[in-house]
Amino acid sequence: MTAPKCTRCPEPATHTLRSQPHCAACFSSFIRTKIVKRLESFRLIRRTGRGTEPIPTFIVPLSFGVASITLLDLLCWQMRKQMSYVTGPRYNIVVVHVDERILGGESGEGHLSPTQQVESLKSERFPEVQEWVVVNLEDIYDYRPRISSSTEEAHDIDGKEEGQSNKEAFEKLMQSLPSPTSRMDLAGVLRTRLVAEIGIKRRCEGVLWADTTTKLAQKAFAETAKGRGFALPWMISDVMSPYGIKFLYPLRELFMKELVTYAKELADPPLISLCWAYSEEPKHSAAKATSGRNITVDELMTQYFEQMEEQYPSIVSNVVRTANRLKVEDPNAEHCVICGLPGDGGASGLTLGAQEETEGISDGMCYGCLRSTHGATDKIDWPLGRT
Amino acid sequence: MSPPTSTAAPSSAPTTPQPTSTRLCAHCKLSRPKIQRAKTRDRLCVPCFLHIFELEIHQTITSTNLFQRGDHIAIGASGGKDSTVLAAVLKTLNDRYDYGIKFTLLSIDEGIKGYRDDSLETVKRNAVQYEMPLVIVSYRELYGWTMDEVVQQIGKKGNCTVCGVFRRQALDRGAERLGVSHVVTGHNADDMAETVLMNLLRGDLPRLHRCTAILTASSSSPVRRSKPLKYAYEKEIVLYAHHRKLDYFSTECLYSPEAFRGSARALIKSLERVRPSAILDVVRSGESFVAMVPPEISGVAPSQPNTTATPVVLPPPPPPQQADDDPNAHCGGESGGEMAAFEKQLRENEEATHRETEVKLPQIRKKQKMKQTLMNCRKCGYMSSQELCKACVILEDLNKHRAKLGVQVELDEVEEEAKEGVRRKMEALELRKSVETDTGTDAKE
Repeated sequence: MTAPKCTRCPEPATHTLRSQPHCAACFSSFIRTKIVKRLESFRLIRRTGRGTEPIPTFIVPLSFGVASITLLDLLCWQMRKQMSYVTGPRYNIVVVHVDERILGGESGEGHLSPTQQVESLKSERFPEVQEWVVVNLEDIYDYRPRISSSTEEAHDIDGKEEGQSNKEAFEKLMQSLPSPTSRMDLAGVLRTRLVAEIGIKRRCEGVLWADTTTKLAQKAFAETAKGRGFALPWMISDVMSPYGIKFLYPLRELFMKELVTYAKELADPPLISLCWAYSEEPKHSAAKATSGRNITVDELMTQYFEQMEEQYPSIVSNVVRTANRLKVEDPNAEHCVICGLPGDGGASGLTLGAQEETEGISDGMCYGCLRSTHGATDKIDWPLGRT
Repeated sequence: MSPPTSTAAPSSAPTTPQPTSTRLCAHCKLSRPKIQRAKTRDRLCVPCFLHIFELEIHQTITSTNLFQRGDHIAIGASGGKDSTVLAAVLKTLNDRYDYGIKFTLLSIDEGIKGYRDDSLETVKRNAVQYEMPLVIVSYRELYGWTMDEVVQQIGKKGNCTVCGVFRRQALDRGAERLGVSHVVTGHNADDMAETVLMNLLRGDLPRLHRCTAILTASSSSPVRRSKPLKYAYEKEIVLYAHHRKLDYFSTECLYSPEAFRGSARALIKSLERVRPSAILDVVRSGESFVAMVPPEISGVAPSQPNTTATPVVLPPPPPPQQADDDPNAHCGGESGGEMAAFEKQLRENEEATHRETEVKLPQIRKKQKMKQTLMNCRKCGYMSSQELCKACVILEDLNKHRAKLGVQVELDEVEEEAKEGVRRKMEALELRKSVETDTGTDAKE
């Protein structure tokens, strides 16, 4: 039996992509084209002559997962190609790694600190990157709210007690939250806001998030399940975020497993060794998901869509397309004091019956944040103010 | 309606606040708890649980101004736990807070042996227990077909679609006959959450737009429907029924739920285990989506590629044609089949879009969609956006096939009837009031 031919060229096929046989080169080109087309669709990258206009800078969050490493690789590939043109590269990138070891995660790569890992990436693999930033998640406390406060509330807004380190303040905040789901949820909010703050500080045009179709679908469901349905447009769509920087998703049309194939088998040299945050084994077994023990809403949804992607990839992308069509109800609504997003239409408390008492909880929160902080053992000292 | 503030709380508030003893009911702090609430994981004693459960439904009703004094409202009763609890609670609340509502039980007899005939017996007993009149409308009377016959003809695949379309119209017909413009149904919070996730999975924005509304008054139906249990957890409904020793029929419909709903249901149950509030949180998100669905979609036919308002054609069942909010009705269909079919359909659409770059038809189609107007079905007079309503389209197809079989005299008779049109049958419809309930009609003064 002869090997099937690639759908796009006469070469023999080595991979299956979107249920069609492909050769390695066409597979790679498919991945690259998807990203390049997406980037172009943002209409931020101008086709200017050399030096006439400043080129945009994007901030690229790097988690050392397959998606973010692949995105970085492909952006650098594109910039490298552009450098050979007369016009030079058409954009710059700043890579930011948020060190989340405070949440108890792995540091990866044995004993190398994230800073050391970034160092090794810098010159060896991705010299095109303009700037590398490594920041601790807890250092969100260093980012003051941008609203001016005429009163002496600086202390309150900062959310820290005097003499408390960022680490202590952050740990206290996390410990006071009622459940792992709440901790993961609000840590995620802080991560997003931290990246946005850094991007704004460096005058970036937008954040290039490495969310794949799979991840976006998972996010749509997880946020829905956490009562944050109102916020989906900012988490799924390419839009100007309420934080003052564009949120863009150049990997939105690629599935996680396609990127894994690319990082493992197609990129030269392979990228997979850099992806310490990726593991072959699913982090959460089906049994765990069924029992609901030691798993968060986000993790449950991750697992659900990993399985869904295996069998029904089109349904996964359909979820993203559907969520992408939802529009913000009222962009001018009051911003939530926690997540900073407007448009919840005024969370008038949690719905447990028809109503539930939410006394003692500060108002100005959206429903999702109210849910995640409900039952906190301590007063929530939030590091950021309103957007 | 002004509900009295005094509640029939089983126990007054404690005068001396007890230090947090886990041994005592979280509400009255007097008795030993016997129940852990699914919603909050609070531990409660039985009387407190029953009271709080009822109170929350009362709050749902009053905060949304669901009922008006003097209303005559039909309770969609299947004999299952949800509708039985709904009837019991509404009866209790109507007495306790003096709503001044007249309730009637309205049951649909789909004609499924071993399932509906038994559950209807339960409803008949409920009618006596709650002193409410009972009206039963059957598919046989309305359409000349029982579900058993439909399944015999078209197989299990797709019968849910038929059943859903038939039921929707049957409820309306029943309500019309009763002179009632409001039907309450027993959909609970789990059902709502499930529906939200299912509509997201199917990419069904129009349904996402309306599936969480507590009250749906649609232009395509003369009858308003509402869901007073929309914030009540299924687990608590079961507990409530158990502790009040309610008489309900616990068998599910004979067939497994369709794949999309099944998948969403399993996910909701897992979510509930991870974070008990998640069910309500999904419902809350669903409520946010109402205003987020773009106006050109909300209120128009399904937006899904290739699911334009074509009426159901039998036998292949297009998944998005399901009755949207009736989880109890979803039987039939081999599990997984729908999802695979939908996946295939989506993939084909995707491939098709790659091929159709130059033709810009969709815009024209959109305009046509917008122009969709409401008329009456040519055959039966039921409201419809097409010349024939969905039920008549299905019937036409069913009858055509039956005619082809052309076996028995019996069948020919039915065929004959079908030719006269459904309208005739509607006019001939006798409301079968059960004998037992005649005594109960004046109970609501």
